[in-house]
Amino acid sequence: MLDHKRDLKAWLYLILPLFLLTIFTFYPLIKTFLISLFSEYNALTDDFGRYFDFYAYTAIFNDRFFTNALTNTLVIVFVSVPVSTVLALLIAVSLNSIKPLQKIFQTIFFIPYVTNALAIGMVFNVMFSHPLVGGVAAEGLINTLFQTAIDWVGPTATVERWRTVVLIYTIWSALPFKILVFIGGLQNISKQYYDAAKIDAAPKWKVMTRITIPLLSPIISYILITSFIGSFKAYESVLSVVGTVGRSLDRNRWTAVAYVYDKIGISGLDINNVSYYSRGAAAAVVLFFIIMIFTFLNLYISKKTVHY
Amino acid sequence: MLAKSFQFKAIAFASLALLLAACETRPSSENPTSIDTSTSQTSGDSTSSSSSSASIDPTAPKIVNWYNVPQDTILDTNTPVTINFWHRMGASSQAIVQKWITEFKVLYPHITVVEERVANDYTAVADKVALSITAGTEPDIVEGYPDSVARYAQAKAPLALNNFINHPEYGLTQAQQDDFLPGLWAEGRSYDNAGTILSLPFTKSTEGLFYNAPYFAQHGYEVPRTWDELFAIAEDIKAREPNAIPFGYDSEDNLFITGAKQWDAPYTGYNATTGRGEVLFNNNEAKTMVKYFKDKVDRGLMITRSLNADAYTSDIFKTNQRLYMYVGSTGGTRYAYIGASAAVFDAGYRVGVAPLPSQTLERPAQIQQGPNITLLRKGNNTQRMLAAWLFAKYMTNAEQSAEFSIPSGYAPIRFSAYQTQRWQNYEATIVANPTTSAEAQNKLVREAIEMFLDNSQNFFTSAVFNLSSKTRTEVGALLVKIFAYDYADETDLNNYINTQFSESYDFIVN
Amino acid sequence: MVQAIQLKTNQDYQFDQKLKIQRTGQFLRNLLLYSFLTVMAFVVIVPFYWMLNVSFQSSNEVLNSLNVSFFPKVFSPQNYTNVFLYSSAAQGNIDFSRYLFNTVLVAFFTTLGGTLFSILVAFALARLNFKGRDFIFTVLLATMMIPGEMLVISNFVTVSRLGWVNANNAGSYLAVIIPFLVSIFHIYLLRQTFKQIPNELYYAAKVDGCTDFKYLWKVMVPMAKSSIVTIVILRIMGTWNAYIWQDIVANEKYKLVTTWLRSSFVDLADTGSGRVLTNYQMAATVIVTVPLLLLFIFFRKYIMSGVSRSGVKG
Repeated sequence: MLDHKRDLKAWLYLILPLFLLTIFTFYPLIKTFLISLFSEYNALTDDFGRYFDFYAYTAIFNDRFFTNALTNTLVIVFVSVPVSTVLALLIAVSLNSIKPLQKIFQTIFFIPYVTNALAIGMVFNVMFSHPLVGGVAAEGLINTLFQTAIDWVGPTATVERWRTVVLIYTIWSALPFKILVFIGGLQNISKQYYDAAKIDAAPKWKVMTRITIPLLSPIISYILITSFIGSFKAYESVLSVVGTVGRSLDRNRWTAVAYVYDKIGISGLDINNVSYYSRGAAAAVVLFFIIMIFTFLNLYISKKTVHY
Repeated sequence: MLAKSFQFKAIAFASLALLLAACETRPSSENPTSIDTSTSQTSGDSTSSSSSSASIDPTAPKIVNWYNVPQDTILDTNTPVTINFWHRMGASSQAIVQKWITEFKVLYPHITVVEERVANDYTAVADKVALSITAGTEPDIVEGYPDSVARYAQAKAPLALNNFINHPEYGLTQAQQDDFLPGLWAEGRSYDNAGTILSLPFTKSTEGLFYNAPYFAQHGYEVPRTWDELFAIAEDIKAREPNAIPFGYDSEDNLFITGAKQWDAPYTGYNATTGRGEVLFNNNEAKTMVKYFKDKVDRGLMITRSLNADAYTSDIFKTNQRLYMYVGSTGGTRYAYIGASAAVFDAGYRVGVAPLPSQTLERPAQIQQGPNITLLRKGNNTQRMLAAWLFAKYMTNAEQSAEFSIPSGYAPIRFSAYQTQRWQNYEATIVANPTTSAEAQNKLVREAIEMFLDNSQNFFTSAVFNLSSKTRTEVGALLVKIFAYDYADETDLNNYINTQFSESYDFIVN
Repeated sequence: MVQAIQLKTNQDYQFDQKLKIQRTGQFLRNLLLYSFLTVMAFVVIVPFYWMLNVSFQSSNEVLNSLNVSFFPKVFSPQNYTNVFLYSSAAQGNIDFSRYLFNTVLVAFFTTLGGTLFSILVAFALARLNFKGRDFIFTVLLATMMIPGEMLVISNFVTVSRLGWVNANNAGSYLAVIIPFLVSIFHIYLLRQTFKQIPNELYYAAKVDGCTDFKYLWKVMVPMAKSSIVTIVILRIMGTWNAYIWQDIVANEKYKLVTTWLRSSFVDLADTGSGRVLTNYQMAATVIVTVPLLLLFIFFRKYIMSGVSRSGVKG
């Protein structure tokens, strides 16, 4: 009886937010699932068509640009997330341990976050630009600094080159938020622990691994899980850095989300009479399941390693 | 928690199993019952209205049903009606439209037109219109390109204008219809084989060859009419100035599409049996055309915008050095002068404009660009659609067409626009020997529009269907890749071209 | 006696040595720290410098220059004032102050509402034990896993049915604020922070007869101040950077500052292929960024000073 009352009270906290979420997130989410199963869906008339089948899924698994897009995405996820997290942790801890100039450094590290994404994209483009025909326009910043004439992001850039640039950009733009959150988390660690460690004359690295990281583990887990989820959805970042002018992304550079956006932007049916929009929805669903599996893995590991 | 993750994994595996069981593509013999894309057109060349009217087949399936306007319909001037016009015009053009709205209100007091710039580019406008169609809040009149109209047609949203045009009281007489430039009128009918008219031309441009007139005069060059002639001049320039890149062509998409037309290579078309649009550019003629221009790029005779680090080739042209001819849109004519330094201008820099060179003189072709006006269907509300039609008619009058184009460099879409007083006044202001940049711009704009008029019979249109805009973007990218490719020998280049072509093709149709 | 002194000095010597090693260790460590931070700071700041660089270039250089330069050829601080004149000509009758007002208003309400919701939901997920808690949490996480574009059509239709699309009234604001008011991203962060607050505090409060609600606002919120401030900053940043959705649904007069940034600085001529005046665009971006930077500097105190978790012995 008391349990029931308690449950009800808890739901009171949730009712309004859940209501909004249902209308604006759950409903479209479920609709996406449904659309992926109706291979004649017409986005303009919101008509589900006559066929309930898996042809949208067959279509995307037969599409090598989809598998390629998944590969590109996985590279971004598994490189940028660990690297940026470790880097952010190091920076946050360093920032925490210095006294003079601390404020200046903090402000500097926060600047990318307040700078509009549009500006940053443009800057990176200029930094890595390279004229395809010599003797007309000048080389970009990086090529000038290092006296090279490499095509980093243009049409003739090799896979390694543009992937490197994308990774640099992704890591760079992910840093400020992570640093911010880590600093907040570090501040929450009671000084008592550090004082005790000082008394025991524990070496710095031990303090780091035995005290800081475990006490920071809820935040680290949060950062890892949300970063993984976020980087699986990478698109804008790749587009702004290695996309061509006119805002399109070469098909070999697609991420999974780029594939989805491309497909839902085409109206009508493809050569096998499968609706492009359904194919996009199917790709979104596949991505969803991939993310879900990784998230569960992450949560499982967290359960074992995170201390509250 | 673990139980939950197992549940989800189970679902995932079940779906995979079902998937494997259903692992074939849907038999493509199943045709959708409704025509979802444009239907067949007999041939790809629709260069003049006389030939395309012959290819209209009244029994062919229509892309949308023709809304019937009874002959005895009277405009109800007592019930107020509001119509919405969505566009992407900049502030100055928008001001002109607002003026028209005021004038229109005097003619038809019960009709209120509300114009709105809904986006800054045509793709965004099309996206918003598409969304509004789904939400049921679409506007009455839309400015846009044929690709987007084909997209709206997925929902049967565009209004077929045939019965409005042929209406005895409110339509266009035959003389008025013929007054529209035939090359432009044909585009409004290119959506299916039955002659359904889904758009009126609004403001148009073409591509022209802009050349450095004093430089040409100085070295005795004749204005080239074929590509061979043009590159002969380019070679001569290059011999004199090894540092020069004599010719620029900004838009790679247009280069490919126009080149394909000129080399008589199929690009896109309508399938004769299924009536659906199809992509056809993966053929030898197109590859020959590409190799022709690649050769010129490799020899430093030609540059495009992508190769120029995305800067316009006219930027180099305006420095009066290194680049002496470029192909650009006549809509951007003024940019041949805008941005040129005063020193350069005073030193005698002047620009001439000529029709686009062709592969052979027998087969001239140049692309026409620019938005059209499309009306959207509003159920069975005849009065409302009639009101929208009347405003669309007003906007495409000779007088208004002249008024709109004079400031911009876009060309009027009707022959009689050139006879209006407004146009005559404009012509009178043209100075034969301009001494200021503004005068020079006006002169060049007039020449560009004249060139447009003289060559309108060479305009062509491409098939419009759900993949046509994607094809256009892809062939541009394809061209850039091939132009930028560093090859070892002839075989290497040919292999590369073949692989890139088939990859692009596979990508688009997949 | 001498031996004792000798022993003492030996000990002293050893102690001195240890101190020296510690000091050099400390010095080296600091050196490393500062070098590392400086390098990272430099990397981080280069794009911002580039932004400033372009913002001071003249229009001629931006449109016609064929070279990339590290410093503006013609130093043009007048860009910063011209920006306001230029944009109002291009956008018709809507000027910068209107966009700013819209953005501040939307930022205020979405921060207020969003933070409130985040606190309530995170509290329920972290502190309260109720049936279905883990299920709700998983389902909420799932909402993060879908790309935003898939939600557009559906949400557009919903918002359209409510009459908010292109509304020439507060409806435009609602259309921009309401759909994204609940963010699991923020809720999750706050939940983690709430979970770190020891159970003992809760039980102690319960013993004292404190209700859940009171406990939330009197104890938990003050202790989670740093995370809440982080969320507030994230909300403000979100509104400042919001572009796509508000561009689709809001009426022209109600759009946000990113619209001003992205569409106002296209060359005025109507040729369909307007050239972007990047110098004005960058100047505008700097103008918009500086208040945010100031905001951060102001808030920095609050983020950096977490409340110590005293009150629990042992």
